[in-house]
Amino acid sequence: MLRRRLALVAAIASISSFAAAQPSVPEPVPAPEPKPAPEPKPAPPEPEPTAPEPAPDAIPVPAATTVPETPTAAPAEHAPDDPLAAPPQDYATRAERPPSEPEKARGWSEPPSAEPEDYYLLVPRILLYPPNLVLKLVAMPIRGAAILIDRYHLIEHTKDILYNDARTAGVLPAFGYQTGYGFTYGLKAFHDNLFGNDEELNVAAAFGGIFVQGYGASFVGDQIAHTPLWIEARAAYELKPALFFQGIGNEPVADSTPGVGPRESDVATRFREGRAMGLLTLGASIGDKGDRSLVGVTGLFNQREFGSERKDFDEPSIEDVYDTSQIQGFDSGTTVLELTPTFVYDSRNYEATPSEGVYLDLFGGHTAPVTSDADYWHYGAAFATFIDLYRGTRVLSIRTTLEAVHGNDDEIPFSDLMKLGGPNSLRGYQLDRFRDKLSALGTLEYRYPVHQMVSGEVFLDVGRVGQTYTEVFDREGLKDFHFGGGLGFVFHSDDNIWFKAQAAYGEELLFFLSTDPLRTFRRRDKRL
Amino acid sequence: MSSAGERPGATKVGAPALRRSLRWLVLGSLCCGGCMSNGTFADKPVVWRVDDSKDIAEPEENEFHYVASALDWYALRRLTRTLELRDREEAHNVNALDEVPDSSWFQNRIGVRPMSPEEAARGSSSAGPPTPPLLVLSGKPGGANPGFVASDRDGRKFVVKFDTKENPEMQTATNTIVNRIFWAAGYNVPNDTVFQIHPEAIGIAARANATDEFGRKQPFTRDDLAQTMSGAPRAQDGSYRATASEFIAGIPKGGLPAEGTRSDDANDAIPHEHRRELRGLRVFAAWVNHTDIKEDNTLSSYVTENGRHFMRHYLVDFGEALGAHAAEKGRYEDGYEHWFDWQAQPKAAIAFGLWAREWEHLSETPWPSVGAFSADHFDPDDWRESYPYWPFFETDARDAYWAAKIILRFTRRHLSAIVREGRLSQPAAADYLVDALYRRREIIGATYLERVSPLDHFSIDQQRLCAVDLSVYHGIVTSSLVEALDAEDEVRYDTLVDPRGRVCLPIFDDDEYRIYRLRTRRRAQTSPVMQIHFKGGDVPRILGIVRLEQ
Repeated sequence: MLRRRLALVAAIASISSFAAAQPSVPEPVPAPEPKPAPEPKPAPPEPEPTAPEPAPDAIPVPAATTVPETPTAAPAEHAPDDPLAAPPQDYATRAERPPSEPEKARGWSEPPSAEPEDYYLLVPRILLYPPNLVLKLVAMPIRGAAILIDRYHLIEHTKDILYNDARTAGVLPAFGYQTGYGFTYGLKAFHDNLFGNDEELNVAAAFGGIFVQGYGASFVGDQIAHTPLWIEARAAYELKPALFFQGIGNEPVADSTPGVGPRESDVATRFREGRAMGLLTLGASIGDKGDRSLVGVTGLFNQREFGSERKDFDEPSIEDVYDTSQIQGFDSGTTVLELTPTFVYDSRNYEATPSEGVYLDLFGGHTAPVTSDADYWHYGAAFATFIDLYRGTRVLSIRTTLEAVHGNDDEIPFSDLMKLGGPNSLRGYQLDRFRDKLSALGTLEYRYPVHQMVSGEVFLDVGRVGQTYTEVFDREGLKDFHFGGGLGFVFHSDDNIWFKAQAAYGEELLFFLSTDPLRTFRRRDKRL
Repeated sequence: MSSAGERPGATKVGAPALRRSLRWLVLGSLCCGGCMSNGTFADKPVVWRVDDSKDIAEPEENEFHYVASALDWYALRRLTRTLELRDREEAHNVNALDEVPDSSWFQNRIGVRPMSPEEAARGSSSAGPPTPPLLVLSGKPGGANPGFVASDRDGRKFVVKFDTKENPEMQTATNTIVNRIFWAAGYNVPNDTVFQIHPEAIGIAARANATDEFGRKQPFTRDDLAQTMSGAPRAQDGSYRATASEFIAGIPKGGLPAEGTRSDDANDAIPHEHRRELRGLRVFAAWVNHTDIKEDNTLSSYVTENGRHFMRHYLVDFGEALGAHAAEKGRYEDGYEHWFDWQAQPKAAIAFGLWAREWEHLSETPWPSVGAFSADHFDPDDWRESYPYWPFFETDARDAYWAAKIILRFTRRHLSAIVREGRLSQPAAADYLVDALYRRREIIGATYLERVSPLDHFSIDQQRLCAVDLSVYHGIVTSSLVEALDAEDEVRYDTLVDPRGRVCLPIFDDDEYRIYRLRTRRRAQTSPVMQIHFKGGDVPRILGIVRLEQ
């Protein structure tokens, strides 16, 4: 088909143009002198906005040449002298004539000639025809699949399989991506309203990425069954084959001699961790959503064992760089039980995309010596405020966290040190990039609307770790804060984040994708 | 399957732009290089009726596939249309006066004849609402609002739909009001009315069924009825307010494909994206903010009239206009952006919130029965339907002008009578709607009447060519000068328009084919030129007009 068209074009190009034919269309003629009317007057001055000049002769009302088909009472707006009162030419007599073919309604005796764009666009249209044809061919099976989805109600069937009838419980796939770890995939079974007051029960399994395998279960309710009872219970078993370890401390150290202590180098290495975790918070809830306080006690149990990396990455295994005997708890593993009283105040208007309110989280406690290998105090504070910059759609959030462990170095396992780096803290740095006894973090995050279900965000994280407050907050310490910033998109409803995609740069460019809704601060089990 | 082997009801997309280019290249090469002719009209009466009701075999039902359509709206067909390098074509089905003839798609009403406010309010039928008791025949197929299909005491069948408690009266009033507007404009619409019904007056037929979300038919029970009505607000007397949409005569055959023609309907000769009444529908839809325009809110019905069987085409389901769609979906960008908009949303993504979009200035009205519908922040050029509708992508200045001048025929009295049919319980809400509709009407008139020449309603009277400047007539401008131009665009004659918009120019009294080139002038600004083809002599008549765009 295309060859025939191209041949036609070639043939036409060789035809010499004919002499200009006399136009068969009468050219527009100037208006004649009215006869026997007087000479036409020169063009009057441009009309003033008020009181125009009257026409040279009175213009009679056009005689009505047709009768309205359906007699109706003429409304006041269409009085007999109304110029629009009569129907258009030939409309009233239309029933007297046979109807026309639709394509011939325009009534051309000879249609007008081609428009210039039909010439100018010929070559581009020919050039784009093949890719357009390919696109249409590619689209056919996609469209066909979409038709099958509609015809056999596949979306509804899928929802029916994945969810209960009330759409409060279901099983969903989950996936994520994190630079340095790759893709994680898994399943999450959940119930969002177990006892009728938004109590959440989740059971999840994850594989790949940061995990070999990871299993977790949680139950969270701020007001269980409409009572003031606050319960948070979590359990997890995780095998992570290649977590990052880059020394302990805030400042980069150049020494890469094998067998150094953890504070003597910051070479990136990998290590393996197996972890069993249990957390139970019992407390009381005061107030309603939007102005709620939670007071309770948290018990957090972690049992960990460590070893050399079990997955091939570019970074060396930890024992190839560091003397693991100097890394507290590495060789022997750790068993730690913490008991910490906890206070939370939450006045955010929405949990997922708040535009106003504050969030405050305070805790402080100690390890339980009887069942722990460790002996230290652990306390922290997290605060966030949300400032509505414009009609609840542009929101600036300011967050600060301060967290510390206090005790002898040889009684604080390295895994229980404060950590910064990763998608939840100090973005733009690898997960747990910095470790020490004290961490301080500030975040500025600006959210703006893109779509009803999509917000854009721009963020800046700044933080550091250290051994003492003086080290972190004195003049020299303030100079050593690390900065990470980036932007991303959040896919959400008012109460749920479905999907988050972020790119951040601090020490390197990192990408994070997650379908697991991030709960701002109530993830201490993940950090500890 | 049809004898041609095509899928029944398959849509034939109209001749690609490439074939058109080649055809014109052949014709154009036979003329002098670069010469363009004006075209001539046949010396015949203007066509006001077309024969698109020839007898045809019963077509298949056209299925609407939402997922496939969404893929086309936002990706696949959007991309292929872009690669086709379409240029703007004149609508294919207009007559010599650039009007739409009566057809199975459209019947000229308020645009060509006076219409009383009472007639506009009565709409397509004087049969009125259903007469209780109702007998439920089935659940309501499709759609987001709860309802059912029922017959009344007289055996008439209706689709009955209810409001929501969050927005009482909104959907029922909106549906009826917009139904009347579209009917008066000329579109085919069902008989929609607002009525009150007591639950005790609703029975359930023995074989009543409902189609569930999987397409399976289940018996429709009292529990289903209670479930249907549980989300609807109840009046103090225990009744429920609902909208009843009477079944259209004939056999429903699905919606109108947005482009191309139906291969199993020989009467469907004009590609839908080039039908004036569908292209101009964009302006009507913008006026009433009917953003939920898509294939399944149209309906073709296989009817029998005068011994012939053919398809008649309707617009249906207007309950989400006037801001109701935005209220239901919580989406204020409704009417300003497509649901996914390739222009606005990527721009918003990289603007980092520094660009406040027009819809962000909207605010709710104090009445839950009226959505965020306003004449403030309304620009018909920037109006967008929620789901891209291909005829709207082809709308040109002439289509918009045609629709705008019909809209301007709606006076405040018409709108008041029509809004009264919505039976809003709060007079202030009704007044607000009338005012908003009237102001949006004025904005539309000011926007589109001047994009082409506003001279209209041509006639020949006593050897004078007469016209009406619609901009003057409707008060958009206060004065106008009409200029007649020669071939070099020199003004050879001019005359002022009278305060009612009338103007007449002298003509020859012979029977020669003549073309006047006219434009209007307001101070330094001139309208595009238009051509009036006519003959004088013993039987003077207008042969045709051509409006050129800026």
